[in-house]
Amino acid sequence: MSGPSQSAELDDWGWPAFARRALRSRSFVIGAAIALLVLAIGILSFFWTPYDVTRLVVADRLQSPSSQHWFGTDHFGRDILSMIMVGARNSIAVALVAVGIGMGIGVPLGTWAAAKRGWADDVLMRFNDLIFAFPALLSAVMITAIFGPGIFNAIIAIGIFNIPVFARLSRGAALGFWTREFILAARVAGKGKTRITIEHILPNISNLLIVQGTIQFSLGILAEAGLSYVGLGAQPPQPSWGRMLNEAQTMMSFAPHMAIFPGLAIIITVLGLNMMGDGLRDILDPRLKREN
Amino acid sequence: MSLLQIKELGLEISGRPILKKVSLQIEKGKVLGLVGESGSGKSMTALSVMKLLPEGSDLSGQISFDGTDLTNLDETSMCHLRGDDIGMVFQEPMTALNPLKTIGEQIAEGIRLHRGATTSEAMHLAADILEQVGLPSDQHMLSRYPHELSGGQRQRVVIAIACALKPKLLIADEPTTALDVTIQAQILDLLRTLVTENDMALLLISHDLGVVADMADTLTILRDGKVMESGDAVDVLTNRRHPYTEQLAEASSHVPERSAPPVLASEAQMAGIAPLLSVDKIVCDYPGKRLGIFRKSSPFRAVDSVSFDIFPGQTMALVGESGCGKSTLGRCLLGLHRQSAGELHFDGVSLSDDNNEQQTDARKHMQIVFQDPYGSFNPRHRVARLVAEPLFRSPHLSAVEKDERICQALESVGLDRSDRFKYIHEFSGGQRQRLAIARALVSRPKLIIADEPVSALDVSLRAQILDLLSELRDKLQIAYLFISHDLTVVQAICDEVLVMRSGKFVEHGPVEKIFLDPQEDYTRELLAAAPNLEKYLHERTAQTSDKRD
Repeated sequence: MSGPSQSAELDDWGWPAFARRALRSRSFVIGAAIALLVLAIGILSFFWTPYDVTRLVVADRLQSPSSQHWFGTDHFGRDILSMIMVGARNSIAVALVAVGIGMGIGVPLGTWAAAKRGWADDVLMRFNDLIFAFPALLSAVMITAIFGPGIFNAIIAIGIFNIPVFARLSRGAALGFWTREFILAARVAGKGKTRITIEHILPNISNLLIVQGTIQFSLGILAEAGLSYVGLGAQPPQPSWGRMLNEAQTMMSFAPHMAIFPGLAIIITVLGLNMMGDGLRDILDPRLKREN
Repeated sequence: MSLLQIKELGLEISGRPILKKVSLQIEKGKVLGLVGESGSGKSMTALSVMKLLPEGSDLSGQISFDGTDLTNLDETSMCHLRGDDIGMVFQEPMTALNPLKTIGEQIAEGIRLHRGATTSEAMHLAADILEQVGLPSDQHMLSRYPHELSGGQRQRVVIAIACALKPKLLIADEPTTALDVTIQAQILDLLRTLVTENDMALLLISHDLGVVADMADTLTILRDGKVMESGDAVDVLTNRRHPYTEQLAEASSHVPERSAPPVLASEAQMAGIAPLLSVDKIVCDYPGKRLGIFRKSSPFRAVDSVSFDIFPGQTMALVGESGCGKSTLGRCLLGLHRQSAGELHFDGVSLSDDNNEQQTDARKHMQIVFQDPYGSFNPRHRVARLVAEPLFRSPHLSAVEKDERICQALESVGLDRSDRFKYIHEFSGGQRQRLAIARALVSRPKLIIADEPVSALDVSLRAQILDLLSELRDKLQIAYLFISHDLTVVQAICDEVLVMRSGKFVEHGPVEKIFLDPQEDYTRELLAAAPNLEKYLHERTAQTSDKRD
């Protein structure tokens, strides 16, 4: 009898229970703290940065970290700390919109396929497989190569590859609920599939979606850095972590700080988001919890 | 001296007391029935003997097995005992077997481990044991995987594994609860044979007094971790000295009172009453498995051209073993599953055509109660919203009227008005089943399809829910289609019975006629296999007095 144990896990939910378990999860607390820090830095950069990132001071170029320039300066004399701060908001914006596109289109498609079943489901899922079969970053390169480099096209390209991820996830989770008795009860009550999806399915799969969203968010940041690195993301003079790495590449031997700090920024942010995602999964979905 | 002697066994798990001074003993070659409702600690008693307790358990008291004290035994010595001297059979045969190994390997595993036998020797022994548990012992059977076997066969394999090394004690934790009655009877027979042939002791854990009355020599009744009564099984169950024994025995053969006489089809037809639900040659198919992109196997016919009528206020039972199509038929009537052919009329409206307004209105008067009181509610909504679900089809009701309906429904199932602001996890299993009934009642239905509504409940709760259903029937003139595999329950509450097998009706008639004078072999088989407390007690008292004479 699988029923009781499954719902016993679902029983303990709501904000107080969430907060209680969240504070107990070390990886969630650390991850969330890092994510909040990055977000705060990104927001702060709108109002204040130590130096203007568009101002070139050739006299100050390639300085090592010092009390004036904490993270040093680049080959144009721009302050690296300021560039990382502005780059953070770029990365966050790209990843956020890309996840938004993925969820906004993928979740309705997936839940629709689960509700509809039959040929619609088949066609949609095979199409999903098709997109999955392409290496995501390579196709993103293709899209930006066709439509021209730029942050807008990068967002679209990353977003498109988030769609099948969310479609497949929400379809699978929703399918599991369609056979549950409380869904049958709603159908006996005469409710249509769309209404049942909104009232019953979505709230019950939201946990999974939030967890996947966090993980896709970190992948989005990586993808943006990758695209910018090959020159297909944010265009100069807009600072971006990926392009900073690219520019640092040729100067690695005499100005390693130019690569180290944006590299650290990417690593810490992605690590923080992944930790938060893992922590969230343990908190929100006890069934997936791995034995430690 | 007894084979297993438990003295004042106490168990705490993370500070919560589970067992309080439980004492029991089993003699060689005897069967001890350990009876109790869920949460009484009967499984924990078994796990204490095996020392397979969850983390944070604190055991006190004494468990001595065959002269050794198990309480102080270390894990290595316990490993030698487990599977060798003590075997265990679990409730769910599917999860008790490793799906990736053949049954031959799984039986041989224990033999190799404990006896140091070679693989081929172990396989030979495994074949012998399969024969003993009534499975064909050829190579073909040994090389099969668990999913290729039926539920009954799987349980035989689990028993074979447990008995492979001829243990002195076999612990069977609800070994037949997940099985159909006819299979249950076979498995119980097998256990009985093994006990006599191998002079083995059996600790049989069950919630079903009928099963225990049939099997056990001695009986221990547990409640909340305490022993209520123990002694000779027939004596305890016949004399019922302890009030809790009396309560359990009464509940397991409980028959709700009814004010009105049963509604019989023949009488209703004579009186010219129109049937509430009329089903004419209905067929339900499941689409076949996909073999390739464009190829599907032929559909599976779950319900094969069945016809029957339900009259207003009538309680119709639909009985049969699992997989016979009874749930599919219920779902088909509710429109949850599309029928492939046939005619459905409810309250004078045809439900077979495409959607129309009349039909929507008629469907409002047909509701369902499910088996699992845990899975049938969305855990994220409050009771008011859950219970109000069927009112979706009554959009003309104002918010105040709706609220009043919800309160009425809650009160009619014995819950409080204020319960409507709670979440579902605040309710116990029995209360949840009341809520499920309240949800069905809220749209003032004429027919409730109850799919195994009491199968997941303990006997005392079962009796309460049956009383409630019966009371509602008398008060509100509701008709029920009562889908069940439990014949005791059917006999207690229903007017007429439909016996179903492989999608077809085998027999149909008033309850008394079917139970007292069944015409078909299959019905007779079902009736004979159903555990019946009174029947077994009667038989066994007769046996003992025969012996005395």
